[in-house]
Amino acid sequence: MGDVPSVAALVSAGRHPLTGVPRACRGDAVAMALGRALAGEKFALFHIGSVDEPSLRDYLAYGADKVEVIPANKGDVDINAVADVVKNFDIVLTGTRAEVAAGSGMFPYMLAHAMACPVVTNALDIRVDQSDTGTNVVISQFLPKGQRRSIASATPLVIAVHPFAAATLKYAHSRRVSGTINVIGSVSAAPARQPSWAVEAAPRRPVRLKAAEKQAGHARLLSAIVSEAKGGVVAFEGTTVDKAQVVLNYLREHRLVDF
Amino acid sequence: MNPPKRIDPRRAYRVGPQGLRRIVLGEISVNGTTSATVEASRRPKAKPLRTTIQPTKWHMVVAHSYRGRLDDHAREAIACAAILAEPDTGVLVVVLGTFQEDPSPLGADRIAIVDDLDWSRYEPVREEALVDAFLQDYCPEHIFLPDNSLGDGDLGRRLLAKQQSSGATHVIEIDRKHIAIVWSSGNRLACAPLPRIVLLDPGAVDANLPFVGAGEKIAVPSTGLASERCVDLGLAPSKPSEIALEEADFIVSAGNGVHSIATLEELARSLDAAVGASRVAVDDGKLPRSKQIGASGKTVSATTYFAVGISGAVQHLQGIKSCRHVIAVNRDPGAPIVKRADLTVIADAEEFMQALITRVAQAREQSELKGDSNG
Ligand SMILES: Cc1cc2nc3c(=O)[nH]c(=O)nc-3n(C[C@H](O)[C@H](O)[C@H](O)COP(=O)(O)OP(=O)(O)OC[C@H]3O[C@@H](n4cnc5c(N)ncnc54)[C@H](O)[C@@H]3O)c2cc1C
Repeated sequence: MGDVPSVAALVSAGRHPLTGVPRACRGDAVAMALGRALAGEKFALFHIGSVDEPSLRDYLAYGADKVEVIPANKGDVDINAVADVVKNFDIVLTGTRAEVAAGSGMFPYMLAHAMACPVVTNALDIRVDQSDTGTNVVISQFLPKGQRRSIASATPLVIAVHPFAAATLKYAHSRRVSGTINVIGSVSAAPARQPSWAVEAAPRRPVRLKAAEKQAGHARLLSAIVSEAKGGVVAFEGTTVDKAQVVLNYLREHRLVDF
Repeated sequence: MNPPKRIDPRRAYRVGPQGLRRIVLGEISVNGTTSATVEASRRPKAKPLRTTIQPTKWHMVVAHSYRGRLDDHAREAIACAAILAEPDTGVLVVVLGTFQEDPSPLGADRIAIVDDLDWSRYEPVREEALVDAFLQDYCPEHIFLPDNSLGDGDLGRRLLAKQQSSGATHVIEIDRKHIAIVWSSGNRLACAPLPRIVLLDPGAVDANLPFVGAGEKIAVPSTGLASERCVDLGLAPSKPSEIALEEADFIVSAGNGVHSIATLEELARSLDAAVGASRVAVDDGKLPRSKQIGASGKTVSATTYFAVGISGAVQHLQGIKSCRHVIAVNRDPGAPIVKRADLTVIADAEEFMQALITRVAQAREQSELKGDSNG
């Protein structure tokens, strides 16, 4: 026992969505906190990008001792080279979605594909069990409608952490000043597989896709005066017990209850 | 001389949503036939098929169903595939999970229902093998998925990472030529040409279609045994009282017509539901502010919303816009909630809640007995 897994967390440069002020990306900071809690001494924090990135100091303030920067240009990163850097770690943590640029959420999937290991996303909690057969990682996964799923996996493994994950982040200015930022190796640029995005200059609302409808003006006027509210069934009659049965039938018919 | 023009006070009309008479344009009433023509025009016309040409190319949609139906987000993805399809393009829909509805109004030409891969299971390798089988058979030009956390966003990204083809996620605007996403979570958009794999954000497409699809059911190819690298240890539903109201799937909500909150909470417990409230109930101090649903409270997306003694003011209805099934209990059959609700019970709240609690308890007992005798 006592064999702690080694954990790497990859963090992105965060920006406030309205003001553009550099800051730690909330989801990534949570991933870092989970990783530090899991691995202690065997934790390492990486950033792919520029050493001068101002938001990196925020991660130091939130508890990391040092950030290792893999220098790369924006956008075009060779994912295989990144996989080489982190391949010796048992668990690689990432956030769910970056705050800058497209924020596609593709990074953990690409990394897992390059490392040929499974990826589990929307992780809320990570537990590590050591047994004779090896390290077993149990992840609690966020699902909508208040559901949680438990998934077990062997290492190595890429986990994308959900921003709701329970982690306490404490900001300390002294750590922000005392932490170090190192540069390691370099990642060669590779042609990006992402579409080439053309950012529009002016803000506007997205246009909804709608089926073209060939309708005469008369028909359009008619549809405008027909009530849209569908109005459902109204149960007037019977005793309250009958009415309770009506509701139970409805719930069962639409399979909203499981009894 | 011509007789003076008169307006016939009994010309063809229909009754509008507010109960007002509206004349029907372009229709002349002949004594006695008025109601008949109105009836005929009110009946929804059968929608035409989108295309009658045998498809040579395909658009594919993959989506998880939830409780036997596809949610609005999944419907939008299917509508998108149908709207962007050329006349010689078919729409193939792969539903993961059970699905009982008629697929043609959704715009699906062919539908494969994979009952045993529903959202509650986590079998990524088998899921991918199945999608691969369809990709081989149909070579779809474009693949559309709803970008949700029910499993489709995850599946889509795994496909994207594996396929060497282009793709985009969180797509908020789409047409035949291009797609757009929100850039840096700000208010500007970024455009790119339409890629092969598209993960759509909710609201990007209007799911109302003026046409229907062929809706032909097809068999699911067998994929053989897949060895999963991750083991699914099962779902753990969190207690309704512990999760945020926005996340709850079943909400029992109290309004001014509820006098005993204890009864309401008991009803919520017996139905495994979370408790919500209207503003008046909160203002009266019956429930905490965190339970308030509506314009100045929380916006919920429960599948089932049970409104007890709530009149259904617009400010309240705003908060339950995306609830699929609304059941109301009210003494007043003219309350606005009746228009919104799928089922309204006209009864006294307290009496009705007591009756329902008893009935639910009986039903639970019976189903347990049945379960015992089966197992
Ligand atoms: C700016 C603004 C913001 C607002 N924001 C919100 C908001 O976020 N959320 C919100 O809920 N409201 C909001 N409101 C208030 C809203 O307009 C309504 O006043 C409120 O929703 C009414 O609550 P109610 O339906 O519980 O009460 P009422 O309107 O009093 O309705 C009570 C209903 O219960 C029925 N009833 C009474 N006794 C019984 C009985 N014994 N058995 C069965 N039925 C019975 C009555 O027939 C009636 O239909 C807002 C208002 C404003 C102006």
